[in-house]
Amino acid sequence: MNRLRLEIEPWRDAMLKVSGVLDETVGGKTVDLNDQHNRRRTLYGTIQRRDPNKMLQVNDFPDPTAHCPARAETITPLQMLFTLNGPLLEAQAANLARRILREAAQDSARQITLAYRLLFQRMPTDQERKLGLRFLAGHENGLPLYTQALLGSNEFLYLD
Amino acid sequence: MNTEISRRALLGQMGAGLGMVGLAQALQAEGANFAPPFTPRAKRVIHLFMNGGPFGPDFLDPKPALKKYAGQRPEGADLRTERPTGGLMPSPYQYTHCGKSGLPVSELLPNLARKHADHLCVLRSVYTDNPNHGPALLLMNNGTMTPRVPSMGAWVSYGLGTENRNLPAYVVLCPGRPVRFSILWNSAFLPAKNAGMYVNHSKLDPNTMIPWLKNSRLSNRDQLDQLDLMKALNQEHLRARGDSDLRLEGRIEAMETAYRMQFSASDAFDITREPETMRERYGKSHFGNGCLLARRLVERGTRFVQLYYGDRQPWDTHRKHDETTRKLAADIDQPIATLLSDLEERGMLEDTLVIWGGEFGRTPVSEGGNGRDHNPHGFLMWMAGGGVKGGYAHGSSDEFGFKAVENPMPIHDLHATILHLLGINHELLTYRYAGRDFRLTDVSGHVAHDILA
Repeated sequence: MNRLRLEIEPWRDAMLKVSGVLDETVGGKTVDLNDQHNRRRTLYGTIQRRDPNKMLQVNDFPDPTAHCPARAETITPLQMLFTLNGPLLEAQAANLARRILREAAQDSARQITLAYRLLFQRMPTDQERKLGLRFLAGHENGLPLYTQALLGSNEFLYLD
Repeated sequence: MNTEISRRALLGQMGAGLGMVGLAQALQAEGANFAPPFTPRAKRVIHLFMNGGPFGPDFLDPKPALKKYAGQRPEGADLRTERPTGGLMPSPYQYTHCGKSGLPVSELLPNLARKHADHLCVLRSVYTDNPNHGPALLLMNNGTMTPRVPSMGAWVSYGLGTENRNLPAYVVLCPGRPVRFSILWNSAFLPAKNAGMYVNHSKLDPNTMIPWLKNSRLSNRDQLDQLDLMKALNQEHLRARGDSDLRLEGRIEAMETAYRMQFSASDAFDITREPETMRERYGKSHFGNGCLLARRLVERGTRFVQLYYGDRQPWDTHRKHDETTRKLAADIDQPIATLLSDLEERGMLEDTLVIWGGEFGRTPVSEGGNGRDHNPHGFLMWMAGGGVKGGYAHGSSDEFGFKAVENPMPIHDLHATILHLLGINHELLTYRYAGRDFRLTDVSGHVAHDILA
């Protein structure tokens, strides 16, 4: 099976999309990707050749000073630190949690179902529902932690 | 069958934690064996990469004929160069015979000469296959001119694993970026966790070196729960697909390494925790800091550290060669001498292989009057520590230092020898990919037995 991994740009775009904040305007000026209010598609991120953006750099964005016929795909602990601790996932997980709360209120089972429909276009399996319920029951205000785990999951990053 | 799976199964049977045990032990348990019938002489490698390419006769390979034929282009000095070159340009540095061995070392390396001449194993006849930086950097790192095969560090990480599962097995340090970037330390078709972890150490705070190292908002308990959740979900995902995908597994493993790194890296990467006297011994230049950082990492179990001298290619002296080389040499001499002394004091020099060199050398003929062009025909590297003869020069270049003549050592031989020192038979460390078994040395490579201690 030719499983595809989202590059950093579509991965970030997908996060903004599911959390309901993506600005889909076409064209216009570039915007700094470190700006937490930047909700534009990643395509419009500013690229500084002398000081490449860390998020892009760590996630296989090619060196902008050289030709790149194809990106090298790596999996590194640094990418995982970005996933666990970086501001992008934190912010989008919070946005996604707000959206889910708005649409599914306080019912954990409904929250989980909605999250799976938004992110994966399917219903959660029994096991996945169980894992989610247990996590949410164990953490007060745990929804943003839960949505962050989903945004950083393999299923969200890889397309079958 | 997929090697990673059988290895995983084996590790399960042995009850060992992943990353604690390398493939070597796992395969031995299975009956396969890529270890030669002797004890490994080196357990870890520090590769000091002089990116751009130094000129060997400036340091450890005296060439008096350069003076004799200065400005001329006698027979043997007319090899093809990348750019137009003129007559021979002497290397102006005085040599002294040093140590008990009497190894000739130039005035550019006074500390190394005084303290470690008898540790140096000089390779005077290395050669490579391409005169351009990009392909030559790849050749030195992976034995080919393309980025589609694993780097040496990745092979070593794959073969031997890490001695500390809280740190990556393979770390690449550079106070900037070499002219080719992550393709130099990639894992290609090997499991992704074997790729080098690139760290820019130009700022010393581990939180700056390693972005997003700290989580400022979650308690450790919450983060651990979140990590467990993510792992469980990813494992469900993997199970549901029923196939093996090294990328999916690699990401699960990398996530755990990252979690543990938050604690272990804050210590390992923090050279300010060293005594001030130690900081001063290394000097506080980027390169000195890099050498000290390399020592801290290998001391804690990192298997392979590659330290690129500097941003882009500082050793690429097409102009003002001598002037630049003096500065570069002054910048590396004390840190390297201290690194070797420090390893020796800790009893680690005997099983740490230190390697010094560039992606190629430079021409004995001048470029533009005071520069030197790229030279792949023959160049110099040296090793020290882990199982190599000290105070010894292997092979020789021609009378001008242009071309390898005696015991010429192609990159595959260099790689075969490094793996051998680590206890790996380069012909047996293979990985099946795209229908055949691949290895670092492809279908070539001879161990240079002469340099083994």
